Amino acid sequence: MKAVCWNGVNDVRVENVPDPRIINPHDCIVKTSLTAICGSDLHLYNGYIPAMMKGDILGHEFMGEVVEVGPEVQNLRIGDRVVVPFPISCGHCFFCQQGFWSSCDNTNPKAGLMEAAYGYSLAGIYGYSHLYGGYQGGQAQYVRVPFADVGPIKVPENLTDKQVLFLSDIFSTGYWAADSCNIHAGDTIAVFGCGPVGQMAIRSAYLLGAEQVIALDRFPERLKMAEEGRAEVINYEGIDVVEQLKEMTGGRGPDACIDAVGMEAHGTGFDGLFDRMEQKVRIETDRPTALRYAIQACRKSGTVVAAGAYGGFIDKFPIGAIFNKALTLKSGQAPVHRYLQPLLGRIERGEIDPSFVITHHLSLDEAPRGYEIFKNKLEGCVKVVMTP
Amino acid sequence: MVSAEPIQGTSHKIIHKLKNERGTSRINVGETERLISIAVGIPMTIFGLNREILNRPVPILLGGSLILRGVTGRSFLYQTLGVSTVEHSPATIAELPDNQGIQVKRAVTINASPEELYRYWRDFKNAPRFMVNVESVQVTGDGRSHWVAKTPLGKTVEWDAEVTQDEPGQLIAWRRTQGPFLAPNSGSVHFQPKRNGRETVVRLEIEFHQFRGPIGTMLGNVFGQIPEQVVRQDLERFKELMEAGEIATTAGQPSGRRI
Repeated sequence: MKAVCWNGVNDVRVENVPDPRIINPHDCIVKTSLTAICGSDLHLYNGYIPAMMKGDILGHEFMGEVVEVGPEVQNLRIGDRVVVPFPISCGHCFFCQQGFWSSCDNTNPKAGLMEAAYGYSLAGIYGYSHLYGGYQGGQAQYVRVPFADVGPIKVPENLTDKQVLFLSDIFSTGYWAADSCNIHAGDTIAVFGCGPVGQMAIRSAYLLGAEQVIALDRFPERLKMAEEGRAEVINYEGIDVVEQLKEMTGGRGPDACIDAVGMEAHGTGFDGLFDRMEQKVRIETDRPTALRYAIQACRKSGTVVAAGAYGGFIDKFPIGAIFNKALTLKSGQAPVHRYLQPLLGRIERGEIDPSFVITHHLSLDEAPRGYEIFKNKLEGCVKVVMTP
Repeated sequence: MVSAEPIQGTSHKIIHKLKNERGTSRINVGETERLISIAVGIPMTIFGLNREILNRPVPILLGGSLILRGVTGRSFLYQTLGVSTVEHSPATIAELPDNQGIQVKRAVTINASPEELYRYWRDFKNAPRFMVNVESVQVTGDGRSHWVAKTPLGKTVEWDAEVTQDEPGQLIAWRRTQGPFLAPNSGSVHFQPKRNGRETVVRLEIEFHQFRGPIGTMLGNVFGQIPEQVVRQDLERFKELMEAGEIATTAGQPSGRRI
């Protein structure tokens, strides 16, 4: 089959590899009908997530048709059309049963690596480095899906692939970020970064009852897309973001701030330069420019949600602002399984059509170009989907 | 079958003793650094000894202290500075007194009843399903069993074991009665219900006739017995099997790597 393989920094290639097969009794094989490049795939592409090996198959947003099931799979049959959530979860451990699906105890075959890095091991993730288990990713014609009874959700025929694909990650992640803001009527939510997850977070915040959503970015096409989602937008270049947000919220500040940027923030001011320099000399591995702004801008006793991915260490973390303003900091890989059914319901009822975010539909063979334009925000690229 | 000697009590005593013994002088040099210390220390000492001893005291003293630092894993300088370069270890390791080897301990919480977990573990024929290196176990009756484990070099290690303590739903303890010193010497597994009535804390303790440090690691790499890794993986796999019904793996999946 054809698969998108990581070959080093800024080097992905479409290669011919063996087809996956059933390995464990709860596995199924999905024939991919649509897959996507996620913003977090760019962290792998740019070389900021450790424990990648040449030849690793990328991708954790995918859907398709079940073509083979393991002997102990009960909920799925050959021919079912499914969307697969990006964390691999067993469904039986303490964390899965509490709804913390991305913290599953039992699905990371390289648990020792993760334990050494973070103290405890987390759920495996498709195509997201050996830290997360080294699983084959979804940017391929076929994918082995472990715990087929727990993860994949069947989707009705009347919805298109593009409408439901993003249940796998960005829609669920954006919605989880908004849900983590604990929104009350009248609340203002500030979303830092108008990439795919930011776009989903904007719309999710309104679905959850926010009165005002303010979105920050500097790329016109992304700000325009945010405006189409009813956000008030700020181009952060050359302005005092905190003062601007204060101004727009009657002096109080946003009730919650979502960092939808993560470890590779591209701040254009002094802070951005500072973080780039510190990352270059390895004082920090991640650039928390957006997170710092989110913390500084958030109102007293508000909530900051780190939804963009972080991997290692940051410098000059404003713990004083967090402590003295009594902020709540939430973070994590989204527990996607929790949101699959409710969000499918919202799509079915026409409350949202997540396909709005797609700007490029390529074939799998064009993956190298897809990574290139998504990374460099060329051709107005916001989201790339690919048909194998 | 209940043994006359309370193994649990013994090991507690050992730990207590260790704490007292090691209170002032702990291993504080990481294993890689210890190997480097030895690798640099030996040629430096030889260099010093090649000349007339009294003329070259510096390389001898420096080389000698590097070798000592590497072998013992203890650095006075680090101790004074409060520094340690010992790497993260996936289990609690204690050295047994009188160079008897080491004891490795680790606990895990499993979403199942103590009885269920005890039953599965006590049937030693199940061990190859979750113990990384164990290939087969033959139960020979009367609490005795014969174990075969593989090493990375393709060889196998075999030993006999007997159960020394057996309390259904609570505790199994065993010891090796015959076989090479590289095999586990003795061990115990405890099953303790959590107050929530659903979960069980499983505590595994295994004693190995093996030394900590670079020599132990080198031996371990050869014979496949890095004890703390073995204990971590065995418990992790036991949990996966008991909770999820299978052990997570990627062995056999495709990739773009050329062999």
